Formats: sequence, C-alpha cells, structure tokens
Amino acid sequence: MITLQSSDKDVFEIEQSILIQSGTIKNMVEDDFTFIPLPSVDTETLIKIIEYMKKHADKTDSKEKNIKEFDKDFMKKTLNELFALVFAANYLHISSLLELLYPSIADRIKDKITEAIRQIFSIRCDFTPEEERRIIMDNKWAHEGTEIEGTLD
Amino acid sequence: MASEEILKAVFPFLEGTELATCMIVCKQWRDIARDDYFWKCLCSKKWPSICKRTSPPTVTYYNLFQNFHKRQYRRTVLPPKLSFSDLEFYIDIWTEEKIIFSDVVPGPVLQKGIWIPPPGICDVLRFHLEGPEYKMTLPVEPRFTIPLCQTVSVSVLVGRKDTNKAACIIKKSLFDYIDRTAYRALAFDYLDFSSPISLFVSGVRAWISLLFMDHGNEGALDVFGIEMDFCDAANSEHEVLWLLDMLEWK
Repeated sequence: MITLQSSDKDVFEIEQSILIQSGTIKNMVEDDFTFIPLPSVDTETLIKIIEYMKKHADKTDSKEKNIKEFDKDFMKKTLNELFALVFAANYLHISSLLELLYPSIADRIKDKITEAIRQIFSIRCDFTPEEERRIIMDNKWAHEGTEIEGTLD
Repeated sequence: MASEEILKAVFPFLEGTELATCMIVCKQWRDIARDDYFWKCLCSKKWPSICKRTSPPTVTYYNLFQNFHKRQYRRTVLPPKLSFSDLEFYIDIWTEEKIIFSDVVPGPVLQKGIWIPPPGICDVLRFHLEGPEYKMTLPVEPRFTIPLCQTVSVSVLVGRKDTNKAACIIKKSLFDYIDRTAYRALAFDYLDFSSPISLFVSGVRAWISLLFMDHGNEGALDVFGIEMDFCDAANSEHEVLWLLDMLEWK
C-alpha cells in the first residue's frame, strides 16, 4: 500500500498495483518510497485521479465496455475541473487520462461561435475593434457558406 | 483560464475551420493558433504528400489550408478588362439578298438595354424586357416587317477600341426558329475563341432574337427590337464582357 498526500494534506492509502498507472508514482515506488506527497494536486482532484486509476487498473476484456462508459461520464465535468485534471495527469504522467482530456476540452470548442467560446472559457476579448475586425476578415474563409450554431453548453 | 500548454495540446484535435474561430477569441488564442505547426498537421491529414516536400515551402501551411480545404462553389467574377465603351457591334440583317437592317451599335447602347417597349407587344415579352435579368437589347427604329415566306439572316461582328481589333460573333445565320409564344425569331452561331481557350471551350452560342409585335398578322413579323445573349455561358454584364474578351480578336 502506498500513501498519497494532497496539497490540502489529506492522505489516501491505495494499492501499489493501481497507482503504477502514474509514471511519476511508479518511479518513486521503484525507489522504495511508500509515502508520496503531491503538493501540486488538491484533494478534490486527487480523489478523481484515484477514481480513474481504480477503474482502469482492471483491464480485462469483459470490463472494456464498462471502462468506455465510465470514461464518457468521467469527462462530464466543468471546464475548470478538466483543467485541474490536466495539470494533475501531466504531473503524474498518466498518459491515458491526458489522451481522454484533450479531445474532451476540444469538444467544448468545436462547432461554437467565438462569443460562445469566450463565455465557456471565461475569456475577455482583448482585441481593439480594429484588430478584431482584421482578424475576423483574415479568417472569413473558414465560415463562407456555412452556418455556425451559437450554442452554450 | 486555459494555459498555453493546454491550448497547444487541445488545438490539434480541432478542424481547420474551428482553429480559425479560435484565432478570433483573444490575443493569446490567436498567437497560439497562428503557429504553422497546427496547420501543417491539418494539411498532412488532408494531403500527406504535401508535407514530404524537400525544398522549404514558399507558402505557409495556413495559407495552403485556407485556399484548398474546400471547393469554392461561388462564382466570384473579377472586373473584366474589357468594357462596353470599348466595343462597337456591327449588325446586319438580310431578307433574301436585300439588307433590311444595318447599323453600328455602340457598346453602351446594347449594355443599357433599358428602353420603353412600344405598346402592343405581348405580355410575355413585356415581362421579359422589364424583368431584372441581365439582357442586351436595342430598339429598331423605324420598325421593319419581314414576310414569313422569306429567309432572314443575320451577321454580327464586334470591334474593340482598346486594341483596334475585331471579332466575329455571328458569321451568317438564319432566323430559322420562330417562337410564337414569346414573339421572337431566333438565330445563333457558335463563338470562336482564341487559342488556347478554343482547345477546351466549345459549344458556346451567341443568340440573336428579333422581337416582334403581337398584331395577329400571321403572314409577317413586325420587328421592333433586337436582343443578343450568350445564355449558354454568360448571364451578367461582367460574364458577357469576359466572354467577349476571350474571342478570337484579329
């Protein structure tokens, strides 16, 4: 059993076999660490990471459909939660989770108009009116003859 | 707030049009999305061979993608080099061997094509002449009458002042089709284009119509106007000028 400590100082005891999905943890375990502090991962995010690794630890064929369902549901989080997961998965070197996260974030951009993207990502437009006009003109080619849906989700 | 690293990892999952939208979001997104690396990835998915070039590319992958990602269906016609004020049309109409109409028609007259048709023409023709579609027409004054038993033929040449050359629009064609419902007699001829256009483009016709009155006179046509069109290929002023520019000018 390995003990993980979040940045909020909460501790979690998890089987080694589950945690080695994280490249970072695997290296530390190989160096005989049993207590691993994770100062850049908060409790909330760590709980989710552990949930993910537990589900993916048992990769028998019969469970594959379940895992796909789980992954789909797992991505149904707020954008900020997804960003936190990206940072954590990056730090912990869990590549399968990153490969899931990036397309999911991309899905929040796909088929959206600019204003919708700004709202979803809480971005303020920092172009001057002239700059904005210019960049819209430069990229008119992308939307010629198409209809863009302005959806917010 | 998305960090640069996250955006750089997420952008490759977007389509080109979506990446273009990202450029408009804010300065940070614009600066990242502009990186030609993403556009190279997009190009390599569509056209893998283009990324195998050995010499350095002269155009950015961004430009390549913009230009070729989608077929442009819109016909955007650039302003033609030729203008109607450069042109003069030489129109001659014969019945049997006798000339009944012979005139030099300046381009702007044919270009304008708007004149008040005389009363007594049928509704079909009136709607056509008053309609918004592009057409080249000129009034025939004084009107002439053509007995139906006679063969009527027409020739049309055109001259241009910018190069002092001439071209043939209709060599000599008979008005062998009379459309009684539209009150027009029609003649046509195939246009001769210059080389190398003529190698690839053929079958484009010039049409001349004699417009006649609705008198109920079955034996003769009372012609009040002439119309010229190239409906096979050109249906606007710019298109007609481009077409004429392509003729074999000598």
